[in-house]
Amino acid sequence: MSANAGARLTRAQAEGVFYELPEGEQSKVFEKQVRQLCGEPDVLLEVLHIVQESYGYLPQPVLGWIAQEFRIPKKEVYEAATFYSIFSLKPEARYVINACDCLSCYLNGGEAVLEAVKKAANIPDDGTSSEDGLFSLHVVPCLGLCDLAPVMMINRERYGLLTPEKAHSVISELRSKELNKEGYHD
Amino acid sequence: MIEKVVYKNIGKPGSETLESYQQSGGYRVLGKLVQKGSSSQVIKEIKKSGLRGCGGAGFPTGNKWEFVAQAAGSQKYVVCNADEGEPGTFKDRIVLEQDPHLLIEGMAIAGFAVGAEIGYIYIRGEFTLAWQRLRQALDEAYANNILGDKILGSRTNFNIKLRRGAGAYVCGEETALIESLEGKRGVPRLRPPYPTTHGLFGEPTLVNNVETLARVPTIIEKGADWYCQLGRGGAAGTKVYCLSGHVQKPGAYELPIGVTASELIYDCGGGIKGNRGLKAFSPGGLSSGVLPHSMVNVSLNYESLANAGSMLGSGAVVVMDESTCMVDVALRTARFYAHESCGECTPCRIGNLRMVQTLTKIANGLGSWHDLQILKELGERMIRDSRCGLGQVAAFPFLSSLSQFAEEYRAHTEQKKCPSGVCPMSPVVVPHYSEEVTV
Repeated sequence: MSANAGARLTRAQAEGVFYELPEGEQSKVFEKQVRQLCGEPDVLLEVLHIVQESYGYLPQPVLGWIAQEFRIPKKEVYEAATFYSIFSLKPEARYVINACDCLSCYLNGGEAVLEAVKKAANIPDDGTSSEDGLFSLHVVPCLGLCDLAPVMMINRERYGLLTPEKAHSVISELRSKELNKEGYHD
Repeated sequence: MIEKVVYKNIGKPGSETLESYQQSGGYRVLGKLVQKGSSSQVIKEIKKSGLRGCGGAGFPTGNKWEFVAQAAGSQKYVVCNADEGEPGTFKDRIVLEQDPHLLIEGMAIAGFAVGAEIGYIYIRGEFTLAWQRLRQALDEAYANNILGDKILGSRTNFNIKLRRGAGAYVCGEETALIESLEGKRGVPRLRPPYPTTHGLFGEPTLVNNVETLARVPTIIEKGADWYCQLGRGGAAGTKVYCLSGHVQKPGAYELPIGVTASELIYDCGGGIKGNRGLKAFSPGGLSSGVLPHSMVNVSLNYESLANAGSMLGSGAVVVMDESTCMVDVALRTARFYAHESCGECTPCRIGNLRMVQTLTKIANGLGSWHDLQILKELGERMIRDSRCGLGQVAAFPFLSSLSQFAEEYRAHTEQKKCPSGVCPMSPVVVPHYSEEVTV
């Protein structure tokens, strides 16, 4: 084997560690999207966004796979994955609530809204997710929607000019929608 | 009728589409330029217009363009900073959602002027609607030969790539943004060298804010002289002010630069909610600190605010009424910076934690005036020693509120009372150092 051929191996390959994507439809869709981005030098964040969208979080094997396919050290993938707050290394709930607690929202009664959200979504005081796995709550800095303060985003949807009652009804609606979908009956 | 530069198309139905943009004369300036314009002429015009960066730092745009144009390098880049994260600011989001083609034209003109063929838009990860609109707009532009190779029948090439950030305030700092674009953690670089010579992938890079770039097509179209006369009191042009907090009608208002805070709050914003009195306002985003109500007649321009010991920053005016406790506001602000510090340099990483701890103590009636003096000294060191803008401004909201509202701090530390009745003033467990580091 020539020296050049050896240099083309990534470290993971040299060590015999191969990462494969989890089986399933998610991975097929994900791989197709990501393959289009291969070869560009600046796409790591974009790729991680696609991971988050496809799987709902960043599974470890997928991070390893990215390092392998894009030929970057796994450490660098992990660094980016942990630095940015949008990415989550643990599975997220079905609905991710991002509630703002920055100054403009706070001044317009954001704290009461936050309490109402916690209560309506059954978020425990010492955690971020409800037990039923439907909601997780992140208190985030300014969402850039200060004209609609107080605001929250649930997945991609934004809800502005909230009052505790409005926040409560938004969340209750989502919950009943979800329960109907599953054909859940009490 | 107030002339608008950035928001001229906002409010028209379908303003985000190419059709609507072209109907209002869009891309005509770019077409003329790429066919028979001169790049040095464009830079000259921008310099003459007195346009300054609208992201917060207020650096003269023409000069920045000139640095990039003169820098040696085979590949140059234009980067649009759409990572709008300064609390209270939402002006860029409105452009991105409702007039994305204006930004694209501005970027293409910037690329033409500095000799860059590739542009990047780094948009905030949370701006999902803006991201979709921008993607559509880019597709439309590529399909109509406005972007790509040999744009608009000329010999100029210009491509724009759209990249999403992922929830880090510090990436609004230009070198952190560049690091993030390269797929790394958003940790600011040491400057110099500046991005104008060593930016993205080590090449000369022009980094401009959305609002700055969105001003370019109109300035080139109508000329620098027209633009200059829009301002008041010697300042040039207009500014988008984002009004939020305790006001009747919050929103983004494009006004001649140099209007007074009172005009903005009372004439545009309809005054304070619930007819309460004004206590304080933050004239340029959280980072600009607070000014007391007695300064409500200050002109919102670069010079007047600098003289008043504040800054125009991003133009986000946050209004606080008389029920607000300034210690509480300072504590919340400090929490924001502690959360958003990237952790790279010590003054910012530790300084912000200390600030949160001490202010928490004070809000719980456990602090002394002496604590505040130590915190003041710490704040001054943070301003002096931090690597990037985040650490350099983080202490400023506290320092300005301490100097403007010393009485309130005295009440909290000496009488152990919160005059507004907002702070708990009861001893609770002060957050431990290690608790604060976990994100």
